[in-house]
Amino acid sequence: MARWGSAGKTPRFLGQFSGYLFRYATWLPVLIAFNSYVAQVTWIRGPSMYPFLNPHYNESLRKDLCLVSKWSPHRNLERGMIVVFRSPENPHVTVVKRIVGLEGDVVRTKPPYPYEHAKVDVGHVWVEGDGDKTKDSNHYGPVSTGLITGRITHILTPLERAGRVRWWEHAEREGVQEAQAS
Amino acid sequence: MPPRFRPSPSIFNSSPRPLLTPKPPHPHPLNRRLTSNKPAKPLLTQRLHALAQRIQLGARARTSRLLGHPLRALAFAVKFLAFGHLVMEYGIWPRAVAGPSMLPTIAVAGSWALIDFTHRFGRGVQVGDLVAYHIPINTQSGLKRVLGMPGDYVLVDTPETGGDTMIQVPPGHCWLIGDNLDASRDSRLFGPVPLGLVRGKILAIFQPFRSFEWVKNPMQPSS
Repeated sequence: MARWGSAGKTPRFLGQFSGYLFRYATWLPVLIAFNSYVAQVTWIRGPSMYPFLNPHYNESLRKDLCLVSKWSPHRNLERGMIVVFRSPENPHVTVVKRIVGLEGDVVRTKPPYPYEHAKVDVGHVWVEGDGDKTKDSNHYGPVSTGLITGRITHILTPLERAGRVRWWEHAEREGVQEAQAS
Repeated sequence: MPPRFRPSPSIFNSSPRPLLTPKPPHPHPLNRRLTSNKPAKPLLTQRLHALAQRIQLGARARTSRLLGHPLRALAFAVKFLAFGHLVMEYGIWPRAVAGPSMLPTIAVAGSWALIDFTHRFGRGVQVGDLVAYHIPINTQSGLKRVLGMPGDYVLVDTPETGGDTMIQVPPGHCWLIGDNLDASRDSRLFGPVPLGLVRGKILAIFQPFRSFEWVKNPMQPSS
């Protein structure tokens, strides 16, 4: 028996196939909402967080697989957290860095920055990569928290380093004068 | 004499045709068209009627499938909400706007803006457009006019009352200014805004049941 709309000419397989395709496609908006508000799994590219992430970036093509929590990304930011944000220089590029200073902190900067000390503006954070090959706040200054889209909570692969990201063990960085808690 | 029992023919043999019918003779090759065994092709009206019936049946089956089970109803609700979120965040959707910073263009209260979110991250935004953006120094949203895109030179301070310093807008940023310079907190306060904070471009400003106006870019030549 022909399906309606096909007037008996279309093979039955095509009608069923498009039906399944549509039924799976209706879950796409759910997937997008989940990825933008709950969690996302992503590969880390590049050496900017060496040696914490991608420790073998110059030895193999292996990349770390990480779990990014997207739940309220601008709230409760702490020094040491690894955050995912849109680059201030190019909004179509997403980068991963570690928070070094929160708003009000005075940070002793690293070479490319034109001044020796920088005060982090309201609503901004100072981010830096762990490695040497990194383009971070020392290049483009403090980053608005509105650009932050998530934080890395777990490493999934490789298995020997898999587990929770213990960001609180990296909260201290020399030369950061923390703002007075008011 | 008792009546002889005779089974009703309607029970045992309901078909009017005899059970064993001789096969119709093979038609003569010249008459094949006229004496085909196939049933007659239904009329167009009959076919349409059958189609409508099938659609109706299918719809009924589908609604019962959707709402027949609580999990199915939940899945439908989740999919519906997610689709709404997709349209409201990535499509075109109106948002209420308020405040004195855009005064000649937008009233202080009661106005709505039709926002095209496909222009987020500054895609296709030009100098003179109105954009909705996340304010860099807090978590609120604002609506301002683009004064400079990456590479443009802009005046840092208010014209006439401020200094004459001009800076070049850095790559990946834009310079946003309110139309009402006296009552606007914009790039003069917080500097260039990263394009990653731009949420969309304003297509139209309207007040429900009162007015509707498409936004025109004043920098474009009027034709």
